[in-house]
Amino acid sequence: MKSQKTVHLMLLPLALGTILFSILPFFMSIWYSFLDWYGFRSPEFVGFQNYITLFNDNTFWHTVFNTLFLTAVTVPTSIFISAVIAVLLNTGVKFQKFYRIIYYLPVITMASASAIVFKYIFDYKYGIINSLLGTDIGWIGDPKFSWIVIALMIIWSALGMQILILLASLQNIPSHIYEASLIDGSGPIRTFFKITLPLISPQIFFLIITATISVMNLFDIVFLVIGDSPGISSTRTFMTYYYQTAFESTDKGLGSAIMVILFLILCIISVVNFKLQKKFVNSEVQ
Amino acid sequence: MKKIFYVMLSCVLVLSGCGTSTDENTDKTVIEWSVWDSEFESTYDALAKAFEAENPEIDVEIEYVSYDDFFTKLDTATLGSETPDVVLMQAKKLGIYAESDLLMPLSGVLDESELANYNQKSLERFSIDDELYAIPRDLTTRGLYYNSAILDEAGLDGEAYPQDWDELLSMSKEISSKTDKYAFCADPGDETYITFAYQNGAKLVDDSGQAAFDSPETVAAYEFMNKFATEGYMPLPKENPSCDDLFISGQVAFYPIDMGKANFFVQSDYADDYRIAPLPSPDKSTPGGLLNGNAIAALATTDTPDETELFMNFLLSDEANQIWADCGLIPAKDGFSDGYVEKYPFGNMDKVVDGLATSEPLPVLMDNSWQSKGQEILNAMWSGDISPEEAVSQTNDAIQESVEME
Repeated sequence: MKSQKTVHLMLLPLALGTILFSILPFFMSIWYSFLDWYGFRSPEFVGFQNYITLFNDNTFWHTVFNTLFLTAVTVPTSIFISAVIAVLLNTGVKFQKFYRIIYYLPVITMASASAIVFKYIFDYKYGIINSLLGTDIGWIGDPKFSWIVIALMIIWSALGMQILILLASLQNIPSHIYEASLIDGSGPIRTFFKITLPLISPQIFFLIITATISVMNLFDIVFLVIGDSPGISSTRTFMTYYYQTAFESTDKGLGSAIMVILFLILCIISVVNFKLQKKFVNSEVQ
Repeated sequence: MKKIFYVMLSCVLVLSGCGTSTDENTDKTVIEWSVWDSEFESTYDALAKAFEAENPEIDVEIEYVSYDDFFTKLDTATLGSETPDVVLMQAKKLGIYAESDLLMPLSGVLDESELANYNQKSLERFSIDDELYAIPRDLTTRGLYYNSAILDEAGLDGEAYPQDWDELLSMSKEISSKTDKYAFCADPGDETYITFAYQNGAKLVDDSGQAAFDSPETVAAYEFMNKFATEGYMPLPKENPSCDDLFISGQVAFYPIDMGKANFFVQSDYADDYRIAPLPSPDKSTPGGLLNGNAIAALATTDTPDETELFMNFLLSDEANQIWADCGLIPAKDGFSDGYVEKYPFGNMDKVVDGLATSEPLPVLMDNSWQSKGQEILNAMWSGDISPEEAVSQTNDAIQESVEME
């Protein structure tokens, strides 16, 4: 009985923290989204007015498009590149540890530090990219190109963790399965699609879910790299729009409505993903 | 179990007791003053020391918060109980705090005879419905900084400055064709574009308080500004330029910006080449300009109202204003601008200082989100995505949205 108490005592702080700082604010946000709560005025219940305002706001729809577009571009690309690199590392290549460290470094690099480096690389006047390509593209200031810089940063920073997870799952595939396929005359590409891919599909599904949530919640690198340059119009994500609305314009009600819509979109994406999981993920290895 | 509970309770009590208005070591009352311009640290220290010398029972503690975080931190603090007693304040932020009764109304608190010596327009700027909510600290307006060495390089007279918009455009043309430098740079986040529009007779809101920016005068000002982009005289938005960086590295000839930047420019390697002139007007007869400058407000939530009142009155004194003047500001109190021109001898600083007398404050809207929208719209115009007419119309819509938030 005493050990039960001790276990509860140890579990309680984290549970309390989650309730106080995640679950409670979540429900409060839903309530706030129905309030006209501007600046320090007393909040006033306005029903769905904040949602109507958002649906009539062009910037909001651009934000929805930007966020979904960045997700659609970066999630499959980063997972595909990670899978290719993980398979290459799994071939027993020399210096495997060295490559693993190299690919993992972006994960432990501070966003602010990598933002400074990317800003220099893509600077209009002094950046190495324009210098190498001989172009005069406004990579950060031109909305036609700024999303590319953000997409590259997302992919670059996601690779390390994704490679690590996929490599671990690849190393767990028993070698006799590959030996059997070799005896049956299967080539490397057929082996990858018929054996490797199905066996690592649970991990890929996990990565799709986590990467999607991560990109949908993107804020720091957009804030640090793009800031308030004109490039923001193609890189304004939900979180940046929320920041501008709730903090810069101090419209807490409208800001909360943005976050509730983000939550609903994430719910829909997750449900679709779970439906697809039943179809595509190899259930035998789960 | 009880022991653990009491240990945790003690921790909570210790932590919650961190904020107090009395310095327990010295038994003095503490006034906390929150500011963002840490470059004036020695000035704030001098003000605190001067006040403490007169009031030995009070300590003034200065808290420096970066400008980017300042109002977010203040907003968060006002939701709790750990607010500063006195804060640096901007006119555009005044409304939202005053309307919510977070600022101490200063009528009856401040010495009226001292206030009579203040620039009256700056007092209006920090008043709402005839109630003063902050003491204007300094006065600034926009001037045209220029790099005389670039003008010399282009074969122009480095000491002669453009008097009107046409001259600014023609000199920019010369500079662009004869040097590899940018002739002009304007920060869309700054209010310079509104100043140009105001010079031409534009208004932000009409007498009934509705947006009135969409006028032929504003369109003409936007067309003038757009010429710098279409003619290639300025860095385009896609270059994501920092006009400050370009100007202090000697890459820009003309830079219209708040005269208060003198404090920053004087440290540049090119400082000897810098000059300042009154902002060119549409025609030579309209000097125009927007009155700027920050102020100091007391929070209504202060738990030391008597000491804060004493401190606010000290800030009105000649002694305090002389300390501001010594650090390179033009105090809003009359008679302290003489030292400024000598401190920043960028050519025609005296003419810019004289322009303060005719400068007008920009109407303050409680919601200032129209400014960030106006910035994006201006960038879209300079990028060639929309015409000056469309830019003005869209900015007017943004102003109207802000008006409707009132």
